[in-house]
Amino acid sequence: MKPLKIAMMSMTHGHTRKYYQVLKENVNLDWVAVSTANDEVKKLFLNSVDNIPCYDSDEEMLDAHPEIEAVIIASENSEHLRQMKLCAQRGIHILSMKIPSFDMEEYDEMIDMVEKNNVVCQIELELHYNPVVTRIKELVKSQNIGRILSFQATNVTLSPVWAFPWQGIPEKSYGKRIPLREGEHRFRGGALCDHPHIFDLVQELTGSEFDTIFAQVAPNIRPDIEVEDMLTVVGKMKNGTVFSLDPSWSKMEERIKVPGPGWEVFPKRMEVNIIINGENGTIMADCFGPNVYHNGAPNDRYTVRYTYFDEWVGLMDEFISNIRNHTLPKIHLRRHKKTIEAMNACYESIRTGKPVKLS
Amino acid sequence: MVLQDKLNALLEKYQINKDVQISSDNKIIIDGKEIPLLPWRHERQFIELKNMVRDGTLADISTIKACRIDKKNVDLNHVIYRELDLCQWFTGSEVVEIMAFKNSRTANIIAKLENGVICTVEAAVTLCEEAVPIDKHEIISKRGIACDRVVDTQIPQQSVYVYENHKHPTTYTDVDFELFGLNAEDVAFIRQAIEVAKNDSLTAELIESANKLNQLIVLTDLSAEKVCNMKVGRKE
Repeated sequence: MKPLKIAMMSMTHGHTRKYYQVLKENVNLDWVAVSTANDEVKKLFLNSVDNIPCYDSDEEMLDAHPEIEAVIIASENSEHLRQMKLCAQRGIHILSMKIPSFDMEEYDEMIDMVEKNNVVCQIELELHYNPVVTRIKELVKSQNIGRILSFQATNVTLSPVWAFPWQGIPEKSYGKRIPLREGEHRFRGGALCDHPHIFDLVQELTGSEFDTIFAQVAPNIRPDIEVEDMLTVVGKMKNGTVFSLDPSWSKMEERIKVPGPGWEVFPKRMEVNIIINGENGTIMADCFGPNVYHNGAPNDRYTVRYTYFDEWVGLMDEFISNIRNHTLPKIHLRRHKKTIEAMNACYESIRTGKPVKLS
Repeated sequence: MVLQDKLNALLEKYQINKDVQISSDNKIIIDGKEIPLLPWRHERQFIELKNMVRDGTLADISTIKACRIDKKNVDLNHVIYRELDLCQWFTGSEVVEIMAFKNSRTANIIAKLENGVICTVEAAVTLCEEAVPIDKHEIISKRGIACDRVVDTQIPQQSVYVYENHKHPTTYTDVDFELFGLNAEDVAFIRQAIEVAKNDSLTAELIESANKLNQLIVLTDLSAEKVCNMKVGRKE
């Protein structure tokens, strides 16, 4: 297979560094260039990766490298539409971060643009390439636990806002500055915007769509940020499965500018746990592990050290295959729209204080 | 009979001169008066979680998460009753609003307490009759998190594991020297029965709590039926 000539844009997204290894090692990829959004991320990139040309603007990079076939848009959410336009108009395939846009008019514009220009647009929901999630899918498919009655999931992490400040800025994260509810000092754009995965998985694993959603925002555990960090969501799927989702930033962190060892205050920085109760039994799963534990450097604080799976390997394999074989990505814009609508319904429920019925 | 014998032995040992009979469904009868118990309040891990709220180990609580998966033969509303009681008891604040989604054997609930704390209750009665119930309780505050489960684990740990000629080990978790041989829930029941026999004011507190919890259970059914969040003490 001819290696896919690929580039990255912005480099401001928290997942940026996850791609470095796979872009270097996958023999079906030829990493051509990157464009950086500011001097800070440029310096970080140049200190991390050698021999990849780095440009100060997206246009400059695309003009200098007409051979680029695909781009990973690794930017804040507010930049996605502009960068998708740049790519789609040139016939360049797109790997989008997990939130293409929360503005549904923008979202539909993205769908039109991608379909009109006949480019692949795959959404980065990397849990689909996680071996534990693969096992859960198999177990559900086997129907040993019978019909699913309830689904509970956590996608809880530390807050990335100190390392990736745009995630605490409502205009850059949610796309607009909208108070959580009348008289509230907090705005949309926090923990909920960071954690779409479990909203996608509940649909995938129950084989159903959202019917009703109710969400409550709790007092922030970081009172000095202007977006929500603690919230909880319950509801019902169209097939009657009841669900409970926790997309909070409930694990406290050190306020460091570059993620790395010592980021954790709570020992565990991230967790995706899933419980599925069926008519004939229950599945409980922790999507990450086995891990190791230490109280060494840098803070001598008891810490869970992850032994990460590399979901990005499978994700990039699928992206290459979709482009070379002209196939629709598993997570494409139209499918993912239901997830974004459900997340917007959470904000609407918080605003009104009432459950929201989805169409 | 074992429980009644253990209870009688403690009553005698501590010279509590009352006739205390174990009734059904977490109730006792003291000198002819039936009293509902909330025995989980005497489980050691819950006492310590409450202590951490009271003594400032935790500060400015944001969220309480309660999850319990019980056996199929248990009443789902009984599980919800227990978990809602714990949420209120930990903080000493009552539920003012509740939203419940339920089906035959599971329920997912958000309850808001008067002090602004948001609680989630995830309840299920899906385990086989031989299974040990699984639960987890987590209190999240600005100061830190307290939980009755070990970080990075999913199920309760046991004190003793015996590997013999079976696929799975035999396990033991003994929590009370005086009541050795009883499981943690039975120990808590006996301990609370003794406390009630010694302390009349606890009787009134338990009766009031039980009445309010019963009203909350009615509201969870109503909320699930009407798909509407319910304010406590107000007709929607």
